[in-house]
Amino acid sequence: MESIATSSGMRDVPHDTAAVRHSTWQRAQRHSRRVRRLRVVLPVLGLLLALGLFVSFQSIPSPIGDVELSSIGVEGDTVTMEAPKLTGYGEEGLNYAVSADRAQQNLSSPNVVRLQGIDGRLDEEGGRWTALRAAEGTLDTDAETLRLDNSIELTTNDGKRATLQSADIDFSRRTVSSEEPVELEMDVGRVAAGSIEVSEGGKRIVLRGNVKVDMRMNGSLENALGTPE
Amino acid sequence: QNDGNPLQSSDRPVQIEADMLEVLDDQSMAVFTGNVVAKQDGTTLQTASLKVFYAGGSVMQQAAAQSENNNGGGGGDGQRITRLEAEGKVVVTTREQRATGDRAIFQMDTNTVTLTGDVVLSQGQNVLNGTELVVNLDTGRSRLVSNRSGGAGRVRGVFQPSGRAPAGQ
Repeated sequence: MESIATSSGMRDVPHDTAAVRHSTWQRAQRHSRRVRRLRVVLPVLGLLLALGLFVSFQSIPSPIGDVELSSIGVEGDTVTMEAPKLTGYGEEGLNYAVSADRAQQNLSSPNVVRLQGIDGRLDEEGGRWTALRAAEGTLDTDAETLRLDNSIELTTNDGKRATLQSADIDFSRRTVSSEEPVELEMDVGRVAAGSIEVSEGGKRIVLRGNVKVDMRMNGSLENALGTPE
Repeated sequence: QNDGNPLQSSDRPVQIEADMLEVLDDQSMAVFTGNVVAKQDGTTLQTASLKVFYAGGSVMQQAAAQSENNNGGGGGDGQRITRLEAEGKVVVTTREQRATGDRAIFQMDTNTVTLTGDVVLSQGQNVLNGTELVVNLDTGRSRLVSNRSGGAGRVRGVFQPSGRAPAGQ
């Protein structure tokens, strides 16, 4: 649905919806001092932390990358961004791309952004990258939290994978937790558990609730998946 | 393939169950706690806590190294488990033997298991007590030692000709 955002009642939403003016984000940067403090360290679940960089009108991480929006619609006090995509650089010059099918924000509580069809990828040092997919999510830019719901999958290009039902991400405390069953494929082995807590940016992962692990005594994930030595 | 050996460190996976698992990436270590049961083929290890040490740097260093020599798509040899340390009411059972002790260390490079503390090794009716049991996983041979300071440093054992219940049990 192609629609032009009217500026009445909207805090200077630019008319040109194809590319959002850089200056608009500049003003927003000042709101996000704390987000800039976000140090991104990528373990298996690290990308979930990166999602805090996902764009919303109010708090934009810096330095800012390119922001593409296919269209913005305003109905009543709900702003809908179609296919928002943010690419850019995190704190240590790692680049990231986070997109969603749709992002919705209600002007009465602009710090809350509802996301559908989330797709994210974060490149890390040494050519490693982590990709994330999640069906739905709610980003709260004041609380600096992101709640992801129903079917979250994280994969890395070195064979690690995490499947969660839901995840609560706290960007200021740099923690990810889920009270629902989790499955991980890590170098240590294949892990299933009832709940998970990732802290210290991924350096510490605690799994609880009949934890089951299929561990390879030697060799790596590839052996377990049957690729020849 | 001598499958009688306990916890042979071949590529066969070990299944571990526990109440909790903590992975400490920068120490390349994972700790299982609470009713820990580890199984591999005919061997079972039960313990209160089990530490798993893996080599090949932390998950992140390993991945970084891996992807330098190939562009993504995994590969490289991942992380190898170098040592397991079981602590607290350790029980190792194989088809024919059962050994209990306070601690057990599985050293992958030498392929040995060392059980220490109050070690009791039983096989059928025969029961042996000592302070250290070393099992060579390749040969399956085990050596029981007793270096109890007060005692005569001798292994005590009760051997029953088959068929009769052991006396002092």
